Amino acid sequence: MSPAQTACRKLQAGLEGRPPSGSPAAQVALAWLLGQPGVTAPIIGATKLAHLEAALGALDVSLTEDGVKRPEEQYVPHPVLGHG
Amino acid sequence: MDYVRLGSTGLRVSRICLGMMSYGSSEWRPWVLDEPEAEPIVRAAVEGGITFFDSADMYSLGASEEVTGRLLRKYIARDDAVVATKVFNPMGPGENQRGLGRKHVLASIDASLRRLGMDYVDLYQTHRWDRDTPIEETMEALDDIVRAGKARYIGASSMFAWQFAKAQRVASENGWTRFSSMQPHYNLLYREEEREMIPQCLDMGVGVIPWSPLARGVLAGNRGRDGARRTTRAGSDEFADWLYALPTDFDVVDRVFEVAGERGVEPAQVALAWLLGRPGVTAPIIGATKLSHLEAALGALDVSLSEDEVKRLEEPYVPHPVLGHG
Repeated sequence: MSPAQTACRKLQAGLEGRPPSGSPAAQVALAWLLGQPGVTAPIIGATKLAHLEAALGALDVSLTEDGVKRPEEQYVPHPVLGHG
Repeated sequence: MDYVRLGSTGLRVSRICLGMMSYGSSEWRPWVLDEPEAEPIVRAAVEGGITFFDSADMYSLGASEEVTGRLLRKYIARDDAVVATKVFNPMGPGENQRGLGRKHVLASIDASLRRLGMDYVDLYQTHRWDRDTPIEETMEALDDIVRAGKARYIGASSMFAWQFAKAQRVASENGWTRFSSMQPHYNLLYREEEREMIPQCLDMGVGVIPWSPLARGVLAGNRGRDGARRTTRAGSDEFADWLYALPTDFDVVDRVFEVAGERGVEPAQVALAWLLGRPGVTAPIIGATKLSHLEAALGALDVSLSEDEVKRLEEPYVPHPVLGHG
């Protein structure tokens, strides 16, 4: 498994273990990103209609302060991933 | 001693910089040496060829600069010494006794020069980024200091790489003096500056003078995995407790001791030799509260690590959160 995959697994595990207000993990991950300072628009991939619907639904998911803190807690610093 | 240019400037400095935070007043921090105890070490540093000295206004609340000035006057000609100091941290309770606003920066250089007993410093550095002052205001004030002949060069210390790039651009756009040096947190236990800051400094021709090259003594074994505290510094340095807390940090320390043992040199020498071999590094700033610390640092220049040794030292490192600023 690549470090990036490990990172995603970890994030996913954090979310799936404690899904806030019953939203699917993908929606929570997107809602988190939409709420980060400076983020204009996440680029989502959709190979099923369900992916697209989940992404559109993410706009309606407003994470509580605790909902943001819980998945972030799982994060550990990573090496540079994706370039360089 | 080896001497190199500070980045792309014409200023030549010794490859070891003596950190003057260790000297001043023991009332400020328990490990700090008062002048009589500092004198033989500063003298030995000069005799060992060190020409580069780094202080800050806030070290011992000014007493470090006073001791630096008196001892350097005694042991090295002003023309031979490269003297650096810094501004930013609070020097008193006043609203304008801190930060990088024009009022404080201009007052601070004069106060530092008075304490040092010098009419100029070679390098005047910003100690941290000031979120409450526009960078334009700071860079213009620093440029005025250079033009007034009170500093030969300016430098910066720990900040994010984007902030440094912005400061340099603002200076360039206005024809002001650019930073010639960066003083980042960099050692075998904290290598995050390898991501952005150091490549940026190499690209800009900016000299890199790392602080805490021995991770406040941790790389020399002043504390143990089990929480043991083996020196005054280790027992009273809460900043270090906060900086170096990962269990993997001690895996690195173990490797340093391993390599040092095989070579029959001090662990501190191995850690410094590694840093001296890193791209972009001009001169680590070493703290010496004992003559043996200084001797180890000087000896590090003769330690040339093999590729394999470097690999073993670097292997246990894991990425760290930003430590030391931010």
